[in-house]
Amino acid sequence: MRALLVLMTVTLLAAGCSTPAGQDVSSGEGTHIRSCGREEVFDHPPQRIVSLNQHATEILVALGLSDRIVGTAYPDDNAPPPELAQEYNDIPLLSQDYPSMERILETEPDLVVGGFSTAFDDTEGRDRDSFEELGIPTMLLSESCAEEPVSMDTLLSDIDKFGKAMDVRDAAERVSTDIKRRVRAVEQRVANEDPVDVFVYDSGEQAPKTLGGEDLGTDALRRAGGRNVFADFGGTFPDVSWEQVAARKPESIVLISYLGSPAEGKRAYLSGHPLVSGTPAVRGNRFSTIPLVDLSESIRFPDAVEKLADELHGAS
Amino acid sequence: MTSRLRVFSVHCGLLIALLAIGVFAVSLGSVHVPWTEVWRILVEPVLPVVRGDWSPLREAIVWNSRLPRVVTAVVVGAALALAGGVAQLVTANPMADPYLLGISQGGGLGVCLVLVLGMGAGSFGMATQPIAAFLGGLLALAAVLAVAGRSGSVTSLVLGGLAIGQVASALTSLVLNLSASGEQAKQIMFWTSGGLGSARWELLGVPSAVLMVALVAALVSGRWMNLLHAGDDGAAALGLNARRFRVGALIGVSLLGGTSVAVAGGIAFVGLLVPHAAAFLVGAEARAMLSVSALLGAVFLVLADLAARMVVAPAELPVGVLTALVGGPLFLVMLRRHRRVG
Repeated sequence: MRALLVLMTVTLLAAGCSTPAGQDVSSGEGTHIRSCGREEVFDHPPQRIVSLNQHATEILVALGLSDRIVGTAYPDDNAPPPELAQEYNDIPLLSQDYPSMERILETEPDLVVGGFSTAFDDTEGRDRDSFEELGIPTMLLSESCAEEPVSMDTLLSDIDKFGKAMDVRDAAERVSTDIKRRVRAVEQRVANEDPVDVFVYDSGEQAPKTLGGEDLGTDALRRAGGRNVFADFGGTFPDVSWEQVAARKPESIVLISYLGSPAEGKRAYLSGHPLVSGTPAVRGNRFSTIPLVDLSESIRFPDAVEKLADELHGAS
Repeated sequence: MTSRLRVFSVHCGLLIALLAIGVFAVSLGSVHVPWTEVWRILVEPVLPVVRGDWSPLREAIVWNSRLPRVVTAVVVGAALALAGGVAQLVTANPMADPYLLGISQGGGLGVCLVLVLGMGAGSFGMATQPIAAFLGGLLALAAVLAVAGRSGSVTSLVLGGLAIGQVASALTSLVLNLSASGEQAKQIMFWTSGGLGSARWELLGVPSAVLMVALVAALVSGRWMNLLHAGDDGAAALGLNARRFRVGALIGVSLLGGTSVAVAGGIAFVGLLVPHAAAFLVGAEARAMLSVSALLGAVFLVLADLAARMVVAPAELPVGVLTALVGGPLFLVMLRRHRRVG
């Protein structure tokens, strides 16, 4: 009998150990979450969260965690979705940029969340190892470390991870369901429309920076009835060539705007560009604008899809 | 006589090379346009018989994108090399060029200020950034001259240039760090490493005019530059006010350097290296050396830009990275040879 018990325990342990990496395991020793290549262990749900990017903060606020966030940073546009604005604005802003390590530690966090990999820049002493040495777990949105094309599923999986780590699974489920419902509604609306060829312009005069095929924005475009003309380019926000922009004859241009880089200047630049000015998009004056944060892995994904669908195929 | 023949044949060789490389550069790009079509698109305006049924896209690519880019490389390469050559002659310092005199950094600071203040396409439209770069370069030079000009010594001139250049670079970094916008930082980063991707016909007017005037002025005053070899006192004995001449020549250098920075950003090593190669080819006589420098600089930059477009195609390298990568080691080799010979 005793031998059987030992055997069962060993088998159970072995089963526990053989759980494939990437799956989240809850056990007596706390919650294990795999976040961007690192296994993080939560003995108890974090109560003092520092979030280093606006779009990551917005996800946490949407999960109802605002009273557990002790600091946010690096605002993208300071204009969170209206339903989150009140709570978002009550969170202390640690820095307009990334805060220093000391500034973060001052808030005594028990979890630090990053939106982009630059949030944990080791040249500024804020790498994830440094936090781990201090016993502070870190999480990074998967967009920053994805090995396959980033899509809505990347976002949903991160929301699920947040739900488990903070023990707000019901809220995570609700938020995910809502995102899927809104996106599906748009997909059904544009299902019978011909996809529009779109050139997405981020910035750059020497060479245009655009969305690559693996960027989340390409997935948003596809769901909104558009087709990124540079979907065959890999990498995150690749630099392409003006000749290729002209040769791919985009029917519509989406300008990405962010703080310090408004869309008006970009529109004027493209309209006056010797090659781009000949594209169907410029000749037909088909421009639209979308904030960068909407195309990052954020709670605004359904907003982005709805907005793009309205621009490309007319308002619903 | 043989030396004159040599100068003549070097000029001819470089001109032919420039033409050949130029046409080659125009026919290469990320969109394929057959070579047979490229030359017809190019000569069609003067020789309408060759008209074919190419698409307007290809015509736009050749005429409005690739050709202005190649011509910009020619103008900027020639201007930088000429600026370097003149600077080296009048300061009698083989290391002098727009960079060493602080002109490029001053120009970069000018552009940086304009961008950060949000006047990127401001008061003077597309000429805003070129004007800012030129003024920045001129101001840097004026500062250098104010510090070093009184003594007129070559050493203090070059050291002053070095210091002003450092201050301008530091100010650029400071301004970048004070402004919160990452986008501007990126634009300016490209500016500091240089590139020709934003070349346009309408941006070429000022730099071309400056180059032409400077080239003529350099050739006309070449005789005086030769006199500077005799030292300031020696030149004075031969009827030349060396100090005044030097200031005039350096203002020309800052014009060339500033307008180059304005259209192509900071491109390293062309101004430093090319005059040495030119002297190696045709000797140190100022007029031959300077005109060969201009041609060689043009050839070098067209080639460098071609490589910058091809190495990581369809993306592009900043051409300044390439010139430094090629120019740096080449310069070291020349230094070594120079030491062995000397």
